[in-house]
Amino acid sequence: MTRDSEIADRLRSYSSGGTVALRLSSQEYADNYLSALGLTVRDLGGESNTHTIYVSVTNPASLVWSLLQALDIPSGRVSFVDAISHLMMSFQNVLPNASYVESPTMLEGIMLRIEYLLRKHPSQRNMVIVDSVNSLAVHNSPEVLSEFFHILVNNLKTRSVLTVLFTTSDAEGSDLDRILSLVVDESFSLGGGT
Amino acid sequence: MSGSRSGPVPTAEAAQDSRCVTGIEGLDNILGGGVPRGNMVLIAGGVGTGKTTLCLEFLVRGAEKNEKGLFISVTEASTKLLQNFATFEFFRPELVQHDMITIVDLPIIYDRLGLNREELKPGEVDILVRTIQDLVRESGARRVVIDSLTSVGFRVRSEEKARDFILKLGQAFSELGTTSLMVAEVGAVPGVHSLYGVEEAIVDGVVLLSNVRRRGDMLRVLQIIKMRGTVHSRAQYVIELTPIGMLLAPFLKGGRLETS
Amino acid sequence: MTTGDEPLLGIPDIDSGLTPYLPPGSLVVVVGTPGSGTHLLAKQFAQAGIGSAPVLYYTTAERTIDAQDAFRSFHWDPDAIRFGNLSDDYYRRVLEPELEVSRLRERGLRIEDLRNARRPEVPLAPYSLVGRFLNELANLDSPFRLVLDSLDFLLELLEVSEVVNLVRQIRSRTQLLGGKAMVTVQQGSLDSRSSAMLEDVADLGITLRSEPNGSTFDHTLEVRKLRNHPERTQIRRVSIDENGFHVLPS
Repeated sequence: MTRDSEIADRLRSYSSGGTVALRLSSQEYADNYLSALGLTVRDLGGESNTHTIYVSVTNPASLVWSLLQALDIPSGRVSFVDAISHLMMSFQNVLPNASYVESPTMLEGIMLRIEYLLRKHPSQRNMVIVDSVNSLAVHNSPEVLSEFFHILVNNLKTRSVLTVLFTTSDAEGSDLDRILSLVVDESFSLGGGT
Repeated sequence: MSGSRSGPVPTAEAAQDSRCVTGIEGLDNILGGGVPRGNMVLIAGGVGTGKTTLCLEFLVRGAEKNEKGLFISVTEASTKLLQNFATFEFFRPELVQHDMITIVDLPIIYDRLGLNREELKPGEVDILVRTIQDLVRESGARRVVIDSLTSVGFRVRSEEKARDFILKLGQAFSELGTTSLMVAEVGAVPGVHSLYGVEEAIVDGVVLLSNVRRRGDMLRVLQIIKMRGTVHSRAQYVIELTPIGMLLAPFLKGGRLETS
Repeated sequence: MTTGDEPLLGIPDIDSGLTPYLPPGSLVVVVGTPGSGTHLLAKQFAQAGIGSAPVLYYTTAERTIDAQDAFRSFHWDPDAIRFGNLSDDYYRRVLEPELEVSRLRERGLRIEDLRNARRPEVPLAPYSLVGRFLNELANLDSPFRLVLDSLDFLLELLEVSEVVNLVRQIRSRTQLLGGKAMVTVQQGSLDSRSSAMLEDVADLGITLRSEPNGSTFDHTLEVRKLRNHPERTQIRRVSIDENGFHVLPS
């Protein structure tokens, strides 16, 4: 059994709700990132016809969407909450399946867009991916961030939604570790480490 | 006599009916289950804070539960309102066509009743109250919205008459078991939630909608300032007006705040 | 165009003694007792101007159609006259809506009353009877003959000073453009001070009287004032036939 298939099995066990962290090593980050997308949006999402709400903070939704298209993900299965394009003023490619939050500091806005999308897809199983915790930490204080994750994760847990938090393992600091340890049920590492 | 009780024990149904569930999920949660039935609530806020949308959703959610609603529009013509309402997914024109929601224009009421003076006389205030009461009774409305009370206030022109109008209207609605939302436009004066300042003291509840600036971000915020007859949260909530209705999220407290 | 020597009242025996002494723009004020024929004299004055200038006949005392029928009954052509009815206009614009308001207030408003109703347009200025009349007066730009029969209706609605001011405006416009104007009022409608004010504005003051005499009435026409010509004042016995007023032989 490969490391990825072990992770896939573990993720499957949270399909009826839970919070996991996928720690991506900065070494060969691009490969790890693609693996993470494959494991979550493609595999987990495809198996149980799960609708994915992808919160993009690191890269604009348009960029993530082009990667997902390369993985043959159908557009109806993914909705984006893009919290970075406004800030980066990169609106060349506005996606019909994306909802844009003005800034990654508007954490309530992110919560509300997730809520909106969950209500728009009430009959489907939903998965929320936050990409990434580190990018949110660049724009928000640890106090606000821990409050945000605490509220978001608990809210999603009560609704049996799987929440996947992407983090870059090498860049994590003690504050992020503390936040993740507070909200996460299990962590997995992609590209080295455990 | 310890342990003795007077009157019948309230049933679960009666307890449920004692609340007017707004149907705006987040709002009902922070109100402890809804607005106490018969309350008159001021929806106060500046321009573009979502007062009318909140009121509309209140009526639509009521109509979905078979509670009729009456929307008394002062500032916007009902035809224009309906065009605006059509942009919301939660609004269905059939609700108006089937009289589940009745929209009336107060300026037409003024005109038909000869209340055309710039300032209403005390007797005319009584006529207005009685007319609104008649319309509520005729429409069978259990939910009423007046958008806006401020515009009516410009006609009554004095604190005394404004107090008289709201007291009488509140009494009329209370007798009919009607829960009402009164829109109040507020300016930038902190702590003042109405035109004359007396309205907020008389009504049963005040819901404040405002824009709050936080580190350059502008957030729409809702706060229950008061609500008679229920224990409620006094915290601020960030709101979003979406096509499917108003959504609320807790206001995160980190960072420095300035009210815009 | 007025020549200045066209008939004044349409009563030749009286006109001949007055027209040479009246300036081109003049105001006639007629005061009459009930039944003395003020409305008829107003119509005779109007028809006397046909052909020499546009004739405007404003009535507050009768329906326009009745006034037109009265013209025809004396073989005068109402089609040559432009009619205005201030009381009809006031009724339509003010009294009728007030009646409807009273009805609705009494009965109570129903949703049906509000359906399909349009929001009232905000008027630039509230309705004013005098304002509307003055606006029409201001739109005149050539000599005219104008009758306002009578002031009594206006006196019920307005302050006396407003009515007198209106008469002053008529005279001023008459003087400016030339032509003749006549206003009528029932005797007793004005107190002595207001009467004096109106008298002051008049270039020609006429009083019509009707006194019982056995089984009939004696009609008299008094020229009680002719500006600058007090020697021309006179009292004449008049009678009315199918041609209107005419002077009875002394």
